Amino acid sequence: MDTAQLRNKLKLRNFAAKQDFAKHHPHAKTFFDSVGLDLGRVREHSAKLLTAGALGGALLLSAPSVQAQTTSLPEPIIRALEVTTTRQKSLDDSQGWLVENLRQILPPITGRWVLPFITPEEEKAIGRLITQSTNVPAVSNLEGEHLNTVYGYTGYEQHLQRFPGDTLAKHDEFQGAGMAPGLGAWRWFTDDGKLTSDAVAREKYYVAVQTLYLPDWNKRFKYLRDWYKWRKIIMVNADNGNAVVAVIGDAGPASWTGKQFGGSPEVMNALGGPKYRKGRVLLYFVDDPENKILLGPVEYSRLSDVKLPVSLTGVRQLYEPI
Amino acid sequence: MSKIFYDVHIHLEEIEIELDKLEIEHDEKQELEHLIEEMVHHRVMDRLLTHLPRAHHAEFLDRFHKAPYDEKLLAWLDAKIEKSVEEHIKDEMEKMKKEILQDIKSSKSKHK
Repeated sequence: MDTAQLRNKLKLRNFAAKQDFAKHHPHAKTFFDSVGLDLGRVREHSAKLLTAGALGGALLLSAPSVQAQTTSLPEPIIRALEVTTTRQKSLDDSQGWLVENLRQILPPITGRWVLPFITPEEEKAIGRLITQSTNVPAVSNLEGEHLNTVYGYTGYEQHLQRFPGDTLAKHDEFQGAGMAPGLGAWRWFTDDGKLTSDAVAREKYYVAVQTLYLPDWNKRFKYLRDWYKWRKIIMVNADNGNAVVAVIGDAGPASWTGKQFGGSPEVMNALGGPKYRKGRVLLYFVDDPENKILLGPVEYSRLSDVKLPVSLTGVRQLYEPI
Repeated sequence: MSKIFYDVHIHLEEIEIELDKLEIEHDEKQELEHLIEEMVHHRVMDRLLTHLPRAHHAEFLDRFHKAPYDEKLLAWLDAKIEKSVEEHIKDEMEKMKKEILQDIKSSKSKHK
């Protein structure tokens, strides 16, 4: 494969597309220049607008509740309250409880490109539902960082090379998935060059997220690159409640694939079994400053101290500020 | 989330599959994906503006700048463009896809 040749060809095509656009519509080019919009990076511009809109909406929603205790809760939260109060869940059915609540709260996806917008309130509520049912502290905002979305489609990724000279045969499971020819976004998974058990676990349970479309990725590149490297997350299958704790180990997929996340073969198996290739998921950061939570599938049956809200008061606490 | 109103009509899975097969570093792959991403926006907007009557350009550009994610723009454009917006976008993307797949193929074969 002549990569340099391909890159040059695509650069030429890219250049021609920009030239054609400017030549055919000079007034549009002038307009975009005047407002500081780089059409090629319109996705980042869109993300900034949506983030600003979400924050504005959050302020509008939260402001009245400060002034008057009688203000109604947002509709999705009311729906969640209704579900959890009408169904008395037993402690060993936290997965079913989560699925039922997600079914009520999450807006449907009507097409792979038409992902619904989740408000900050809804994000927070969903995070607390996940926390409550899995015992894994799930937050959409951590240390001020937030992905462009917590809800979307995940695709099936290949194994990644963990160390120089790594081969597919050295990966103990899902060898049929193959191994990506190049390195992941954060290169080797090793600790100071050593393949520790932690390093093995990181590659087994890694996800890919679209860091490249973060509105400030280029401005704060060094900080964000380090912040996201091996950041612990929880990915939840929105349809069956299967959940897995993993790390961010790669960047992607490209926006035009119609997917927002990617999962390693082990992650995808944990979410939906060996044939699961794509599905609707939630992805939250795990707030685990002491690094106590192990990577791997959440085993609901082993959770002995999960306390699910069975009263209106208990559920309402999920939506109140921490 | 980061989306553009015409995303629904962009189908480039075949390119995704071919790029995945390439033995290239992550950064290199990301660079190629970014080049493609830029092409998508320029070619789609070029095509739409070409077929949208000039009188509506200012309003369209303003709305696009203020809310590039607004799906209502599809219906708005549909009402003003002769052929359906969906057909225009799909046709343009199909052309682009063929060109890129050809580039990938020829880069592979010349290396053999």
